[in-house]
Amino acid sequence: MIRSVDIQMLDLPNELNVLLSEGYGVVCMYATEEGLMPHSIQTILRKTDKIIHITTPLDSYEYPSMSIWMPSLLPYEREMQEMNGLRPKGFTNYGPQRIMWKYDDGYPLQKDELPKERTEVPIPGNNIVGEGVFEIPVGPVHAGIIEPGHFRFSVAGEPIIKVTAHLGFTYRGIEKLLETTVLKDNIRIVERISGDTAVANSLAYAHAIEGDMEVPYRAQLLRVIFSELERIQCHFGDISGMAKDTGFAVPAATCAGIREKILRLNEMIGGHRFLMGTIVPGGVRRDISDNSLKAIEKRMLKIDFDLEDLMRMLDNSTLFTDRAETTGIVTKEIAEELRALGPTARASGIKTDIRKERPYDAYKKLGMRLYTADKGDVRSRLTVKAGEIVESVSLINQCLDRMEKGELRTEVNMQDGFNLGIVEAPRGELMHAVNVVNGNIWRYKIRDPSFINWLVLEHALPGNIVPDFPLINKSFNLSYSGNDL
Amino acid sequence: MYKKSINNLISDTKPCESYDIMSERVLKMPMADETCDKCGKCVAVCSGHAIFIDVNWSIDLGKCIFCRDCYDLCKHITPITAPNYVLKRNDLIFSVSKHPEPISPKLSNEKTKTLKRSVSIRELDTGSCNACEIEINAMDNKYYDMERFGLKIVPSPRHADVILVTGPMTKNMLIASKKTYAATPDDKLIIACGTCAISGGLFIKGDVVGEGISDTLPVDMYIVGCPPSPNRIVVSMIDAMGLRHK
Repeated sequence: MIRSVDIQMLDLPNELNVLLSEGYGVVCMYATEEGLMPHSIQTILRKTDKIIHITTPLDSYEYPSMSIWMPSLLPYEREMQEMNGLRPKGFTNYGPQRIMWKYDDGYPLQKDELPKERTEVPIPGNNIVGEGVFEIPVGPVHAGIIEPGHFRFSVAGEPIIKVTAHLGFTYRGIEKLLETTVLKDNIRIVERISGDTAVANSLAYAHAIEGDMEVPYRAQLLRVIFSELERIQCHFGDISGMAKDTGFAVPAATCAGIREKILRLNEMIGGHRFLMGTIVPGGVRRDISDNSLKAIEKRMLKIDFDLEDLMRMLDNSTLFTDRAETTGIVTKEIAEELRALGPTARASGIKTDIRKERPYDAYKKLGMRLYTADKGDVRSRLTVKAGEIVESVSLINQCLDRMEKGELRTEVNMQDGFNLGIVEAPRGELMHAVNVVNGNIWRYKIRDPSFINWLVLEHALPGNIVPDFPLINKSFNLSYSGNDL
Repeated sequence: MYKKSINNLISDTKPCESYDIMSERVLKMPMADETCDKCGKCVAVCSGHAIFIDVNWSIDLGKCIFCRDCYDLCKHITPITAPNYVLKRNDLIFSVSKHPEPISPKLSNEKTKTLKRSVSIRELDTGSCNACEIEINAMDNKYYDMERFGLKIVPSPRHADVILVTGPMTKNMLIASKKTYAATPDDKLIIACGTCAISGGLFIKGDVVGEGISDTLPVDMYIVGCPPSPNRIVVSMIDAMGLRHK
């Protein structure tokens, strides 16, 4: 249920304060270009399954900054400044967020034709000086096989004082691309936002296009199976990475092996190792044969045993425990203040999960447990992720039990106005919002969970030593391409 | 306890697949049969704009994202075996009269003269979606285990013989990519891995430089797939560099 309201800019800060005290949290804030007025700001707030969509028309390119007293709005204000040219008053400039250049006259998301001329914007330093304080620049090409991103570490000896993440190297202009391409091609682009979140992204896109429509029951069950398979492979990759970064090679290799098995299972049932091209607006693209369903059941049985052995191995290792415990702590206060998402938030004791709070598709009928931990360190995130694998296996088994023959997809008509798709991706709450005008996409907004959690990561690092950075980074497992778009 | 855990975990797996098993799992590409009436419906449905009708029904495999929309549409289009890699961009264009041949071309001796049986690879992401990275990471797992063929990922471009490039070359990565290229010692090979790197893929109208990475870096070899599966990346590199018979 989405409640849409129009609120003037003067009243917006007060209104946000009232809603915040009622327990609402900001899901996303973005700007859309309107006819005569320069822009309007769209704010989406959520409290369990209640969603409020606030439209605030602006009469100039300036508005009073709200992130000063509400830190969770910081990334959105930076984004609006860079992509739409809206200047928040009283806001300190933090340098480029996604793009390392600037148009002399114009902004990347404007509807008019973009100017060709642009100038480079240098990446600012951390500006921390003092005796024995050094700044270590890292990236964008890293030593491992990961995506590009630039980090500035200010260190005094080993401990980190401050880290800033400068991302945007994989900026491909996807939001703009989705406005201009043919509608049928959009699902293919959306699948390739972030490779290991292909199902979650295409599912969020499908929900945004479908609106309130229900898809056939068999399609709902298959969608849940695909999402959970993706979550399992993603979390096994994380556990593998965490074990690898502590130098514990046996569990790392085992996890990589299990992940490979699931990727092969994906290829067998969906025809693609990352399940791209399985979900379409209105249902799923292809049916799954009974043999494939049996193969899934068999694999799920094995995963439970594998995971148990694996966690025992990690638990019994004092070396691993020494590295993982009390490393990279995210306190509950910081997680709440910045509105952290997904396993990161759950490891800090926040009970948030879209599958439970605002169930979609077959999740409405399935039972699931929410795994949380309270310490907020690397170890907690590992336990939460391991718990979620167990839960995913149980969800898939429930789906297999309820599986019945039936339709796979229905016709979808995209409706004018505002619509929203929120799903729980492996990394947390993923939101796609779409503004449709005359049957065409006017503005498409994607908010990946990593977009928020990068900010949380910056707060988890100070006080830790530099060699622990890869471990902490891996325990968050943030997407670069999902953040950059 | 520890020993029991390890025994449980490794009991059922057959690690280290042989070269033959790996090269059996091939990629399928769409191809129209002789009776195709060139109606053009598949051209409209192709998301990657790979299919075009010239004199014959033709497909540019460098742009294909293997979404299989064309199979669903038309009964004339059937899957055939696609090549793992090619050495020239134009070799990726196939038509009804020019099917892919089951040969694996070798890089010239001039290019592989510095390579013996070990190849050091530096991976360079120029804006890919991370799927290619996961597959390249998977080359190191126990099923593919690329190190036994002499393939090795190195952390620095200074130690590399090969730069394995993924992604459509975003404008933000242009400088870093050129610097990585310059930092690699001479007699280096550049491999474009995946549809994005070959042609820009779906992001060709986005914030990218040119069509694929070939406008920025001199590419020696193109590995097909979106993303290419790990076994085919390993097999392609072994075939092209002749690592098995050195």
